Amino acid sequence: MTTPILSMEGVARWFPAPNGSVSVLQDIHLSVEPGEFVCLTGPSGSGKTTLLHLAALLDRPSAGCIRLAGQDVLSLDEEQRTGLRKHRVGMVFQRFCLLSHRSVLENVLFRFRYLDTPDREARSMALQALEHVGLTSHSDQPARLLSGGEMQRVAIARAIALPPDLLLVDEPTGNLDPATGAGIMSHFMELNRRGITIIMATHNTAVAGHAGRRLECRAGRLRETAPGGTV
Amino acid sequence: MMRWRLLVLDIREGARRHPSRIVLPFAGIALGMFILAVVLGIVAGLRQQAHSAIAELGVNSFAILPLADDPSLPALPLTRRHAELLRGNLPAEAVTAYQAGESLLDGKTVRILHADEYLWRVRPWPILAGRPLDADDMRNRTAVAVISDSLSRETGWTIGQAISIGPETVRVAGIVSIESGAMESVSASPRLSPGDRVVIVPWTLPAYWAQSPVPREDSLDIIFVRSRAAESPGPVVSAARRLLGDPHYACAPLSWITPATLVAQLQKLRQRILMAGGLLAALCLLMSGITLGSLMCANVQARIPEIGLRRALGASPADIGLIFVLEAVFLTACATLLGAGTAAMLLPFTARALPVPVATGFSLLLLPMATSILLGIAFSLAPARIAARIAPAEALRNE
Repeated sequence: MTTPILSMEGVARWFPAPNGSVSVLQDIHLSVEPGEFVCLTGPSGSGKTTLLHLAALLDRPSAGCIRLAGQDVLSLDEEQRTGLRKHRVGMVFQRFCLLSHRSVLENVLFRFRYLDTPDREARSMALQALEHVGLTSHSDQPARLLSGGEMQRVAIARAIALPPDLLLVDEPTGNLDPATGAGIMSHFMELNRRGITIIMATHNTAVAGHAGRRLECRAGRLRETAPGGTV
Repeated sequence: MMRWRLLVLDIREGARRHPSRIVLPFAGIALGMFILAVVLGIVAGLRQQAHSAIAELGVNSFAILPLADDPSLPALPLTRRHAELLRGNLPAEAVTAYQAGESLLDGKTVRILHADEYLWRVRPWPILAGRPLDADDMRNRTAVAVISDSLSRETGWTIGQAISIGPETVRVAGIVSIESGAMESVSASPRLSPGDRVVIVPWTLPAYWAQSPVPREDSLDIIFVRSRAAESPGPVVSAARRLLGDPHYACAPLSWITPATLVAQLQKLRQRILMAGGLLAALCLLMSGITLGSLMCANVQARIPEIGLRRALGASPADIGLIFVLEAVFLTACATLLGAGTAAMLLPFTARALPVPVATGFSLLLLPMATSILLGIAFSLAPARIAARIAPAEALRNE
C-alpha cells in the first residue's frame, strides 16, 4: 500500500469575524494517492480555494491533521513548511500571477528563485517546461503581451519547471474561452499521464469531467461524486 | 551571477511598476544629499584652510587687521607708522605689512598689494622666476612688480614685461606662487586665494591703481609678525598689544589673528555652516524619507499578489521583507549618487566663486552614501515588516 501524497483528517478552517467566526471548511477527510487527478467542484465560496491553500501549506487548519507525503505538516515550523512546499508542491492560479514586466522565460525561472538549483540546470528545466506547453518561441517576450491562454500556459510551465509531487490548480480555465480552456486541460491531462498528482478546483463541471476523481465541496464539506478515492 | 541578476530584477520590480511614484522621494533625497555634500565640502575646506594657515605661517606667527567695516570706527586705523613701531620695538621679530586693492588690467580684475621688502621673510611664497621686492625698490621707488604665477599664465607676462597700472607703467621683476591666503581670508578684506591674479608693488609707489576714494598713502590692511621663538607667539602678541595700545599712537580697535584664534574662528564658522547646512539637509532627507516610507507602503499594497506568489514558491517572510528594504536602499543610493555625485563634480569648478573655501573630491560621497543606506533601511523597515507579515493565503486571494 502506497503512502498518500496528501491526507487530511478532520480538518476544519474558520476565520475570525466581528460576530464570532465564519466556518469555511469543517470535518474534511481526504486522501489523495500519488498519480491521481482529483477535481474539486462546487460553487464560489464553498471552500475550494481554502482547501487548496491548506494543501499547499500556505495556511494552517483551525483543527485536524494534514499529512503531505506522509509528513505531519502541523508539527513543522514555518521554515520547514516553506522548504516542503517549495520542493514538492506546484501551484497554478486562476489569474496566472505572472510578473508582467518580466519575460516569459524569467517568469518560468522564477520557480527557482528560492531554490538552490544551479543556474544552467534551472534554465534548461525552464526551457523544457516552456517546450512542454509550446511556448519556446515566446521565451523572450514580456509576459504582459501574451494572450490569456498563453499566460496560463506560462503559469503551468512555471509550476512544472521543477516537477512537483503535487500540483494544485485553482480555476485554471475560469478566465479563458472554452477552446483555450480545452487546450489548457489537455496539458494537465498530459502532466497527469506523466505521473504528476493533480488537485484542481473548478466550478466548471465540464472541466471536472477530465478528472479521474471528482469531489464536491458544498457548505464547507466534501462529498465524493465519482468513484476512485476515499472521502 | 544569475542570483545577483535575480536580486536586481527583484529590486527593480517595484520601480518598474510605478516609475512616476518614485520621482518625488528620489528628487528629495538627491537634493538633500547634494546639500549634504556641499556642506561637507565647505566644512572640510575650512578644516584644510586652518591647517594650511598654520602650515604656511607657522605656529609662531600672527596677523593684525583693522576691525571689519564699522562706520563708528575712525577711518584708516592702521598705518605704516604702526608697522614701524612694531619693527623698531621688536627687533628680533620679522614684521611686514601691506595695503591691498583692486584694479583692472587688460580687462581683468587684479589684486594689488602695496608691500614692503620684509614680505618674503614672513610669507615664504615661492619665487618661481626673477626676484622678490627688496629694500632698494622701496628706497628708490622703483617701478617694478612681482606677479602671481596664475596672472603670468593667463596673460603670458614674463620677467621684464611692462604693465600699465592706471597712468603708470611697472616692469615685472619676479613671479611668485601664492600658495595660500589662509590668514587673510578670515577677514572680509584683504582676501587672497591660491590662483588669484596678484600684482605686488613697492609700498613707496603711489597708489595709482586706486579708484575713488583714494586711500591714505601709508594706510595698511594687514600687519604680519613672525616670532623668532619656535612655539606660540603669545609673549610677542602681548608686547605688540602694549605697543599699539599706547594712546600716543591712536590705534583703533584691531583684530588679532593668532594661529589659535584662526583655528577657533574657522571652527566656529565650520560649526555654524555644519549646523545650518546640516539642518537643511536633514529636513530635506526627513521629508524625503517620509515620502519614501509612504511609497514603500503603497508598493507593498500594489505587490500583494506577487508577495503571495513568492511565498507560494518558497520565499520566507524574511525574504519578502528584504526585497522592500533592498529596493529602498537601492533607490536612496541611486539618488545619493546623483545628488552628491553632482555636488562632487561641480564643486571643483565652482569653488573659486564661493565665499568660503571648499574641499573637493569623491571622498565627499562617503558620508552621503552611508547616510543613504541608513535612510533607506530606516524608512523601509515598517513597510518591509508589513509585507513580511502578510499571510500567503490572504495575499493570493488578492490576486
